[in-house]
This record gives sequence, structure tokens and C-alpha cells, in this order.
Amino acid sequence: MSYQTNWAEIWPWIPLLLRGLRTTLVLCVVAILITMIVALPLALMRMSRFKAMQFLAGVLIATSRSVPLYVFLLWLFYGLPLFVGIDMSPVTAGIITLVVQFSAFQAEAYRSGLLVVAKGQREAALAVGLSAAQTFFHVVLPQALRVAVPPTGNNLISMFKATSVLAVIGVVEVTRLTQSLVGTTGRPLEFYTVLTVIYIVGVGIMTAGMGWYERATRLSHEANGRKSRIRRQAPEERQQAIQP
Amino acid sequence: MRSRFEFEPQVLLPYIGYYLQGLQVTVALALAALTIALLVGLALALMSVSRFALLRAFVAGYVWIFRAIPIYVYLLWVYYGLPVMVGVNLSPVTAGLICLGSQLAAFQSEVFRASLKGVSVGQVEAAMSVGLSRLQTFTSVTFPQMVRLALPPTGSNFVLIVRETSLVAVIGVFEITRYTQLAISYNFRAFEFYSALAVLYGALVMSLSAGVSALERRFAIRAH
Repeated sequence: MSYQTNWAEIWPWIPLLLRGLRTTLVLCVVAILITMIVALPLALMRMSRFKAMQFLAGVLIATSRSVPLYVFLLWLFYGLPLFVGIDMSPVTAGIITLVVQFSAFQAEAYRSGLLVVAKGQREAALAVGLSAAQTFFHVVLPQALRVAVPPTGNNLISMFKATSVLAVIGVVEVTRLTQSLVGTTGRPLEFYTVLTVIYIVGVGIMTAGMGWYERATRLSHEANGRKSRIRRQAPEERQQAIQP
Repeated sequence: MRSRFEFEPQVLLPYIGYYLQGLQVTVALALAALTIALLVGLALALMSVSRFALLRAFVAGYVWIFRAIPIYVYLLWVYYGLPVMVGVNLSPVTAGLICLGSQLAAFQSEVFRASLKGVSVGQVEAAMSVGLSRLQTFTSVTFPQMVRLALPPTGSNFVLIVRETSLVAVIGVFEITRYTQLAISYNFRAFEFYSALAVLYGALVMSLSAGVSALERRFAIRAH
């Protein structure tokens, strides 16, 4: 018996799929916010004068970069609870996984931001009598964060895609929801195609949003094409930076 | 009530051979995906510098779409969705390779395109002016220089695909992650086995990354 495609069967389920998408987006936003907080000390440790700090940050970053997300998720959700004796909800395990996996990339984003803040800025701030902490929070950090926005956007997009893997431990986001709908309706082609389209459109909107944001916040001296001390990423480079 | 958990890494010992076998499959999968990606990626890169706008648009669309689709969703679509449309059942390995290969091809085509542009126009003009045909110019002037430029980023792509192979376990490909899951279903030592899995991936990826850095240093083009 051959399979008859029936795309009309999707329509009644669209509101449910959109709710799944909302869960995906909420997960992403929560995870990126935590990542942004966790990654800052990591970046500072990486740039610290103390060898031990540098080493510790290096180990953390290397680990989160080399263990695959799926494997880390399995370890965290099925393995670790046996050892520490605490059960985690799938959502908690999923968010921790995303944070651990992406804080390395986010720390890199901060580091590149911190490195481009001109040395003169710090020296000027210290010269007018600001303390080291004041210099960092009022002068260096705001400028660094500005440069870190595009790579943070990239991380958010990668995270949006990575949340799909959380379906394997039962986080009911859009992928998991689609899998149950395939089970209910017996229409894998239609529903998985819709799921694919949802991700493509989602990434498209996010990419467009980032482009718009960058154009809107570009400083005048950057728009004039004069060489700026704050090097902005070229759009091509930005595309390249998006991880699968 | 939860019984007390004892950490017993010695339960892993009888499985060392088993793990190595799984690791072999993982590396073989990654190499096969890389081979597909190299061939398809090169073709795509050449299409992207073609005179025909349609071909260039096709490549741009291909790359864009494969960047946007999560590999897990793509796997589900190819393994569960596609067969009902074309009426051919794919084995998990075939489906896994199609996914990994075609997605990596998108990234690899960008690498090739960048390295193709990195070969200076003067080289091509010089080759043409000494009477080489277009094909000869490509095979004996452009291509060798391009390979050198492309080698380090290709290495990074390989590292990436090694990590991604773990996901094909969800459609039932027996690589190291799936092997581990199977072992756990017999002995319930999830902590020991998943920890070993994470350590193995970590060691594999870190040593490959070190290899890529070495490649980068070896093939760095120094200013004269």
C-alpha cells in the first residue's frame, strides 16, 4: 500500500505546534541569560594574571567544547543523578546542558570584546581617579558588551537549534511535540517537514533581527567606513560563525 | 527508597574492547561523512563561483538551509519522513550518512569557496598566459594551492562531525553512544558508562583538535 500524503491534516495541530515553539523559545532565552552570566567570570578567569585561574578556565572550556551535547545530556540526566542521589527534571537537565555547552563560546565572545577595548580607555579612567572596579564596570565592560552582541546572537541561534536535542530526554518543546504528533497521526513526512520549516523560519527571523540590530546600533564612525578600533564582524564572517 | 549508590569503575573493565569497537564505528562514520562532504562540497564551491546565477543561487540556498536545520530534526526527517514519500526504506547507517554528509557538505563548500578565493588571480592569469587550458589551470595551479588553504578549516569540520555522529544513535546506528546505551540496558551502571563515554569523546575530540592546530602551524603561509 502506498502512502498518500495529506498536508491538510496539519492545520488543526498548528496552535499546539506554536505552543511547542514558545517552550523552545523560553528555554533558549532562559539558557542564554544564564549563559551570559556564567560566561563572564569564565572569560575573566581566562584572561587572569594567575596561571591557576587560566588553567581552570581552559579545562572548563575545553571540556564543554569537546563533549558532544547529546552525550553530556545523557550523562547529566541518566548518569549523574545516580551518583549524587538527586533527580533532575528534564527541563533542568536541558537548561544546564545548554548553559555548559554554550558558556565556552560565550566566554570567547566576551574575551574578544574585552580585548578590543582600547588600553587608553582604561588608563584614562584610572587617571581620573576611578577605582579598578569602577573602571571595569563603567568603562571597560559596557564597551566590551557592545562588541560581544553579535557573537551572543550567534550563540542564541545555535542554541535555538540545539534545544531540539533536549527532546530525547523528554523536554516537551517543539521537536518532542512533533514526535508525539507523528505517533498520534501516523504522518511522519508532513509533521517532520513542518518542523523543519519551523526551524528554518525561526533561524531566518533571528538572523534578520541580528542584521537589523547591527545596522541600527552602528556608530557613525563605523558607518563611514573609517577604520574603527572596535572591529565589527563582517556579515559573511557572522554567517560563518553560526555553529550547526 | 533509593538504595545507596556505589561508584564502581571496575564494571567498565570487561567492556574496554566493546568501547574500542564502538569508537572505531564512530571514526569510520565521521570519515565517511567527511568523504561525502569533500566531494559534494567541492562541487558546490565550484558552482558558487560559476557564471550562471541559477547555480550560485542554488548553492546559497543549500548552505543557508543546512545552517538553519538542527541535525537532530534533519535526522528525524530523513529517517522517518523521507522514506514514506519516496517509498524506499533507508537503513539507519544510510540515513545517518546522508544527514551528516549533506550537512557537512554545506560547511565544507564554504571552506572551499573561501580557499578558492584565497588563490590569487595573478596565479590563474599567469597559468593561462603560459598556455594552460582552464582545466589544467584548475588541476595543477588553483587546486593544489587551494587544498593547502582549506586543510586547517577542514580539520575543524572533521572534529565537529565526530561530535555530531553521537546523534545518529537516536535512529539506531550502532556507534559508541548507542553501544553505551545498550551496555547500560544490561547492567544499569549509567553513571560509570556515560562518564566513560564523555571521557572518550573528550579525549578523541581534544586529540583531534590538537592535530588540527598542528596542521595549522605546519601549513601556515608565512610572509616572505
